[in-house]
Amino acid sequence: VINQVILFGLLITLAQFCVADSDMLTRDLTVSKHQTQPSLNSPSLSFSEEDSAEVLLERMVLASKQLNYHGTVVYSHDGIIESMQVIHKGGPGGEVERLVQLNGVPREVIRKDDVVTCYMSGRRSVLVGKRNLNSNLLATFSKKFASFSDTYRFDVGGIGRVAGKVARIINIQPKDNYRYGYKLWLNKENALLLKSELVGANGDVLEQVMFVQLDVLDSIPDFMLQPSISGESYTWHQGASKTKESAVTLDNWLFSNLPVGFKISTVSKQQMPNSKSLADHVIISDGLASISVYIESFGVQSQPFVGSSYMGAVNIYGAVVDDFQVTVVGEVPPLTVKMIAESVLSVASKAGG
Amino acid sequence: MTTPRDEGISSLFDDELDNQVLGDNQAKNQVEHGTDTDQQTEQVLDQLCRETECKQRWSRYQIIHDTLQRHLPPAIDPDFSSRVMAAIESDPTVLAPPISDTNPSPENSENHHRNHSSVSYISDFMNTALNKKLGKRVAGFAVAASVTAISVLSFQYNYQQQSTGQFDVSAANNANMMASSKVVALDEVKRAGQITVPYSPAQIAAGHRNHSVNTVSASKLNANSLSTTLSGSNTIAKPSVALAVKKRAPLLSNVSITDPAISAHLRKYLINHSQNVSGTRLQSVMPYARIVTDSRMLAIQKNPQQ
Repeated sequence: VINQVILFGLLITLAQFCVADSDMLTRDLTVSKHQTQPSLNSPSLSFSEEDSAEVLLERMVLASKQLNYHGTVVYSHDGIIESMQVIHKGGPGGEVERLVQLNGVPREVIRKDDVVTCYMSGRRSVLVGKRNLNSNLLATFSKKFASFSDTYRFDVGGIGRVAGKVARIINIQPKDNYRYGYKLWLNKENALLLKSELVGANGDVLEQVMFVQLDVLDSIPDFMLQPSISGESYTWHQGASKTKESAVTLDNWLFSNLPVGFKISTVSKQQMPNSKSLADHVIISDGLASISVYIESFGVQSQPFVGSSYMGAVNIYGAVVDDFQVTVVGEVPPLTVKMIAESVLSVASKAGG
Repeated sequence: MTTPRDEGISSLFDDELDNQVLGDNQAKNQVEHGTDTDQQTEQVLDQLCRETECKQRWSRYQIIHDTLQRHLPPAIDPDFSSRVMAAIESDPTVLAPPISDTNPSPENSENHHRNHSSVSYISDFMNTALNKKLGKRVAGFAVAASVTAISVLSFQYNYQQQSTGQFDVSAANNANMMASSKVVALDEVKRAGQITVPYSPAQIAAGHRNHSVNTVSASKLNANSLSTTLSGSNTIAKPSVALAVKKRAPLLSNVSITDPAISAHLRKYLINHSQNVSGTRLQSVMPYARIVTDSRMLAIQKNPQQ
């Protein structure tokens, strides 16, 4: 009888645990369900039919910084489609963004505000770099929208549907051949960018990023932002700038012929992975498209190269100026990177000759 | 079965070599003495590869097998594999594995470019790489059995990736070219409209013995574009070792061939650029997407067409 009583007691206790677990599970599910509801449905982010492209784009940039979201993105270029998981945590505490490659070699990128960490499992290395925040797009749209009038034409298009959500389409068309165009699909509820296309001169889509599934959440649990690649036995490359960008000026180099609308945005010294010396890094931008110019001495690399290459919509052009390798990288047509690379002049050689 | 040789071929085809070629007592002895029965298989495979009559017999068995299994197409060309092999040999496109230690010095590369056409340079370059890096891993195989070819190459690709772990770009190129080879293999089969021999003796020998190979599958589709884009570009600006490609054709993205050192260097710039300019982009995800993607920097253009 005693044994039966003890056994009965144990069963009761076990049942209580089960009920408790069930409650916790129900609570978790409730929270989860609640979290999937759009929380930042603020009037400032939703928009009406009359809003201009400028207003829509400002809200888009704001939404991309403020909202918490989790979704799956497909990225297509050169006839190849890649799928990625995107987790973004915004708000006043700062931004954290995690991008996980879902196909092939596991790779992840985690950005905490301006620090970008790339986990490359194929190379067994981790790259850490500092993002350039001097020219963020929000500031550009807020203060300099009129400056685009010479280079781009903005039109609000029709209504589309992406990832099951109604979207407003914005067309950004270049006014010359030195830059690409854009076609954007913005979530009508919260202005989040659902789909974007980089469009070439002939109307060809060069690159496309599109959400196929997207949830806007109240909050993002920390574990979702942790890398799944430990990186313990990896080689870490610290790529942060060694010199303060504000203290760097472009003393030794000049650009004799920049395309219309492009201006030098920032100048810095970059410690490139596996390089001992610093490279001059100049960012040239027209407000939307950005171009990086790297100038390195030959000593830091195995062999110089001259010519062009590309990946997706990014074009690269290499040139040799004096004893330096000049490499221009940007999401612009080949014509533009070549023009910029060939316009790089050494101040010393110009003064001498 | 009239001779032990024929019996061995038949048994190999039925995957019963161990039981039928070896008598019970012999098998027991081998088990007891630890003799590897694979040696017997290897002997039969050697015979298959060496003797024409054996090859023909093997082909006949394949046809009988396919007849029984109702896999026969309307027309049969028993010489299909040799035609495919001939097509491969005349095709300049070559698959490349990840390469780590085959970068020629600037001086050597310059001489190399002066003395060779671009196509032959690519072949030499890739064959050297194959010989050095792959070593004696895979024996020759026919494209006809595309699945086998792909699986063998895939193994090499994975092996390279795990062992070296530092040439993602080349690995990506390799993977893409593997995809090309599969397409071509299927295309060849389709165009020929012939029977697809599941496994040739050489292929089985390849899988069994892991010997070295210089034969690589190639793309007829892509070969057309490559042969036109690579012709007449023998000299490369000093001291570049970049390969010349005149036109940015869509197909080229599947046969990208470039120096791994340059690829790695370009990728370094691409990553740095992406992480630096993401704040300026309309779509902040895009630059990161480029980082995590197997970004394939295509061949350097000597005289890019704008």
